Amino acid sequence: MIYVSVILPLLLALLLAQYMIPRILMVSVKKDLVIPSETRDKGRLRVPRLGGVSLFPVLVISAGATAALCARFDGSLLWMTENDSDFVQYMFAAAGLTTMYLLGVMDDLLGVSITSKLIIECLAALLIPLSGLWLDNLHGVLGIYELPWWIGMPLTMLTVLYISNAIPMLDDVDGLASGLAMIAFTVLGVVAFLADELVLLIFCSAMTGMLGPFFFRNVIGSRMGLRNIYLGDTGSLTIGYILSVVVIGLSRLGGRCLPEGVIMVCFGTLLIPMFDVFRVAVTRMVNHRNMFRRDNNHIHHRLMQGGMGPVQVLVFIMIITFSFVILNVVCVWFDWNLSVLLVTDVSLWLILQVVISYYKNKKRNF
Amino acid sequence: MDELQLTIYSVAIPFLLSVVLGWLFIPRVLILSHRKQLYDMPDQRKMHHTPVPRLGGITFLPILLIVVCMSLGVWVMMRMPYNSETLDDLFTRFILLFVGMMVLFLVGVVDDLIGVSYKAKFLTQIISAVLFPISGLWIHDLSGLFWINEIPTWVGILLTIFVVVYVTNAINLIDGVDGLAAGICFVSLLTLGLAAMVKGQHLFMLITFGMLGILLPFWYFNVFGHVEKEKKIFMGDTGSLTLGYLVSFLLIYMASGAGITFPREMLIIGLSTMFLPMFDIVRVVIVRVRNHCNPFLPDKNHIHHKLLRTGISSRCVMTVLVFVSLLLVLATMMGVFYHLGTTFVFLIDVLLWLVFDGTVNYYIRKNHRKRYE
Repeated sequence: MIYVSVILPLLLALLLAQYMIPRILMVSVKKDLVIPSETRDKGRLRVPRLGGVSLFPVLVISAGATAALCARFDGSLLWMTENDSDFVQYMFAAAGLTTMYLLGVMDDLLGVSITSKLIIECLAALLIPLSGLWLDNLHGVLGIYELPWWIGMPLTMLTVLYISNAIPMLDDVDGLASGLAMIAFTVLGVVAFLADELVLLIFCSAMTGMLGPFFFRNVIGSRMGLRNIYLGDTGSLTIGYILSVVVIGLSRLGGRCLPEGVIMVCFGTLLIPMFDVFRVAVTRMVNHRNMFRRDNNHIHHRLMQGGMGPVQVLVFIMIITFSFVILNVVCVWFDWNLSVLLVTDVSLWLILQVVISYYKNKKRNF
Repeated sequence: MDELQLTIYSVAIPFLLSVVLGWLFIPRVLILSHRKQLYDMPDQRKMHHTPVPRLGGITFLPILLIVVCMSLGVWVMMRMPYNSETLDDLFTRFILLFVGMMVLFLVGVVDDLIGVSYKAKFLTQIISAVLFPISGLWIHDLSGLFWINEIPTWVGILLTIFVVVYVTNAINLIDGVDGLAAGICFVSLLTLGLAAMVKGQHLFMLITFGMLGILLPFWYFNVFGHVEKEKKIFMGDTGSLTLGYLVSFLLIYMASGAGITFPREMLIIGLSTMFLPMFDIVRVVIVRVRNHCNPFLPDKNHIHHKLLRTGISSRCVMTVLVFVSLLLVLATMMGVFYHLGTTFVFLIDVLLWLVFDGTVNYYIRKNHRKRYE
């Protein structure tokens, strides 16, 4: 049954997304929902940013059908009889995800002010710790172990907010958001498989499956004459929310049915966007600029200023992410101290930044 | 917690939550449709002549999902009583309900925006209807309707698919006058919700009262919204398909008696809430076949078109039809209460409806003659 719960949502989501993308394109072109290209992507065809609209329905259909089949044929595989706290968590997460989806659709089509966007995101993020899914143990990262609820719950909420807002910045380069999210969901899916967490596994494989067609269309399809499509805010908010739920859910299992350091593996998949948003925020704060206005200071902008093409940027960032994941997995496997691992990650990342800055300045000085 | 508190919780919380969410969300959909010009272009068959957005139905599914998930989650979190042995079955059914609704939602949105052929719509309705038997939910027992009781599995499954497609289409087709489909569904959901309340089925109450709560603000904007002030909205195909699917789910769940405690006559009571649109489809199809028209192509022969031809206003049409629907439900309930036998009750309903149709025909002729003179 566990193989069914990998393959069925993957295929179902892949087919549904592949079927829906041309329809979304048709609707958005016919109804003129193509967002006019602004300063950020000059010289391109006007690309609809509504691809993310398909993610939530496809997730509901593919993951829902699989979960229902699993529950029908072998109820013990899910959570019901002995453990109802999981049930509460998934219910609350579904409500929060719907909220995020609605917010994203409104933001893509109409634009939502930053204040109301933050308020709604906070409400959706608050549902996660309230359902009992909060980081109660850091397993020795920075020497911290058990957390009391009044630190753990706000921390969880901030993590959800942070991840949900870190994903949209990736949506500037073709295929970057879908590619990174696919890597993250694949790794998390393997972790969920090892932990026998059937529902999270279904989520992960459904997300991997439905992002495949987007990745293909963004990277290869748009060069073969197919019309390109972006995920938009809907997509990034949805992906970010699901990612944070899965990451937090799996991190809590460390020490129970997974090795202690699984928290670093889970967060390691999101290392690049998380660190990069942090760096950008610090830079903006130091330069006394508006925290929320978009600028050209993200890692992919810097790489492009350093002389890389969009495809090179995509491949480079994916390789970096992949090597960070491998590093974290290996170190957790050999039972390193997690603080040391974190410091290693940060220092490797800093070295990377220095190298990028070097190439950027070299290019500028020519 | 005692029974009363549980009942109050499962009625008030979903109802209030979805009223608030609907009140917040529907104006946004209005702004969105007007700014992005997502209109239903006026054509021959439709009743209106200024562009009115028909995306009101896209609010139903997300709000229902939020409300049901939240109230169910809080329910389990607060350790309120539930039967953990049937929870797997319930879970399967409710998840598949949302899966089917989501399929119809997607088709409906595409239909509202750029149009879908009736074949594709029909196919998706059948696909979503098949999800019911898959989740172990079909009509086992006709409870004495036409003197049939137990029916074989495959007949029950086919009948279930037929009923789902029938009810979904019935609501889709009755949605021609402001507030009519919402009003009839309101009566239907209220009846089913009260039946669930009497039998203490809290999960049903969560769903029915959640949906009632969304219909209320929608109905307000639908009926009382001013076209000129850009406050009017239609539910469109998205709304009628998802609403019809939800109603047929509740009907069949209550009728199938799968381990729950509804009386055997629940099938006829539930169906009677939908008799008005269902009988009307039969009449329309008969008329179309007699006139050698394609029975799937739209025309102006539905009951609300006929009532408009008697010369009353569209709001009056809505009131009359909702009242007649309520009357049919009450007649059925009285019949069941006095143990008249299901077939007999059904015949009474058909008779009432024929009388109503005859009255309408009489007034049409009268109005026609008056205009002619």
